[in-house]
Amino acid sequence: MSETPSHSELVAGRDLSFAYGERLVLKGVSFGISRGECCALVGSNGSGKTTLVRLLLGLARSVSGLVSMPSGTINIGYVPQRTRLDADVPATVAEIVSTGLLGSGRITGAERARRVSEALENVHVADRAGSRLGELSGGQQQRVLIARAIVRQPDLLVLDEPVAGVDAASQTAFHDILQFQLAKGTAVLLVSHELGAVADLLDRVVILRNQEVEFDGPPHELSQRGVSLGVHAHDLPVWLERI
Amino acid sequence: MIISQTLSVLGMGLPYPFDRTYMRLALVAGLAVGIGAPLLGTFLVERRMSLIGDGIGHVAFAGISLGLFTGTWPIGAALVVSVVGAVALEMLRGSGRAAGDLGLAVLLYAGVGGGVVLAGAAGSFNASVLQYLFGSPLTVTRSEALTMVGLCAVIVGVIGWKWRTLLAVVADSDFARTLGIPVRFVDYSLAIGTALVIVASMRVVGVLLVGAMIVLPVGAARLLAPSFVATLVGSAVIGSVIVIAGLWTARTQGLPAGGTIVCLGVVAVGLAAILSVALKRRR
Repeated sequence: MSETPSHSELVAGRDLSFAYGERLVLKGVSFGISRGECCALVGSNGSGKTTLVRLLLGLARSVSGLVSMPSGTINIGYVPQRTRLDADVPATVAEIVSTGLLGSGRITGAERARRVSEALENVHVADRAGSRLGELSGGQQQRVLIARAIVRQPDLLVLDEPVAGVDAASQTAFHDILQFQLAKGTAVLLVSHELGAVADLLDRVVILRNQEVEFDGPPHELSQRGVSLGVHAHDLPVWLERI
Repeated sequence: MIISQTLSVLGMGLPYPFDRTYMRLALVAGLAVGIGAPLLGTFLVERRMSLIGDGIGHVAFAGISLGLFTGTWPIGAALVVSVVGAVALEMLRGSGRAAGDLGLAVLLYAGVGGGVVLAGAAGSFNASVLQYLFGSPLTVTRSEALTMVGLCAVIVGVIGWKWRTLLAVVADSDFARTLGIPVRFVDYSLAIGTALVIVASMRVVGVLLVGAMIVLPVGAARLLAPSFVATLVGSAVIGSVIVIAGLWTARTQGLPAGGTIVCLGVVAVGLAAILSVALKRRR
């Protein structure tokens, strides 16, 4: 991996290290994502995936290293782990999605309503726009979070464990949503334990192990080495022995 | 002058007991609290800070006692001490150094302990303290009513303007940060706003009960409201209704007004819970 940020990269972290107290989570990790790219960040529990994403988004500060946006300020749509959202908030799905437009400049009420409606249609929950968030299933809530991110028409969509604990129908819908966003030129950074459902969409896989990047390349290179993208991340250490 | 004329006009058609000037002043001040406190409270409840009003209320008590002890204006002293307490609490909460609501508990007991000691030292542990502890809406002055109306107008204005930003923060603060929203500034603003509401409201329901006006109407509204905007409007409407009903009941039945208003708030939550269950069964 290049140590100097490429201008094609939307966001780049160089030599990032992070620790929770005495426990080192990331050690000199460099990572960037380019325009239109679909990249999966995988690793077992505690490998530092979510921490790396939080550093790239500015939600945490690294002990050392630097995060930059080499191609200028970009619009990022962030889909956190579903449990981060308080589903008990007495807000409708449309109200929650409309918060995704904050910071997008002045926008009329009609334009806001149109974009919210369009985002909800894209994630197939338009019929639940007036429902309270807590009334939706886990998979539907996950799609609402994606709608809240894509309503901004982001340059980069960052998804943290988007299919964890959701039903098969929502996983299939998720594949279609991602495909649609990639077709629009949106770059996608996906943190997940399960890649099987979206393996065909990936341009690149980055595997974190022992606080460092273990593998960074196209998915077919992994396949050539006998590592299946269908394998659950908990089993990755076993498969990684083969690399 | 304006409030006086408005009250005179309003009073022309108001029935007993609101046909008296002191009752009209109590009504205006009470409505300002009944609208402003729950509006702010909606965000505090969703931010899991329901008891912050209680904590800062107790600190305000220490401020009043400090004012009585030092011979300065008790409300001014309460204002300064409450704002400092709110900022300290938010610093502690934001730093994550205190486990759970430990910081709030420490603040609450420091307020009560310090307040009792200072009031005792000032020789003022009597009716002059009690009117702040439990409220005395029937003795609210015109300038106090005007102050409460002004603060309520600011709360209504800010929330009307920025409710979506505040919703983003209370629903998911990490997501709000990625939008560039200054989440810590919002948290400090909520804490300081709470301190201002408490000090402005203490003559109506008292510092020991003001937390109830921040939380109870919200607790009732969120059980029934179909949306966040409806929760905001509903909490302000419920707050207003329990203030009017509380003042009327207190005056006609000879009960303490602050406590009566708060008891009606509890009744409102109970009725909303029953209605909510009934509505769910019908669906």
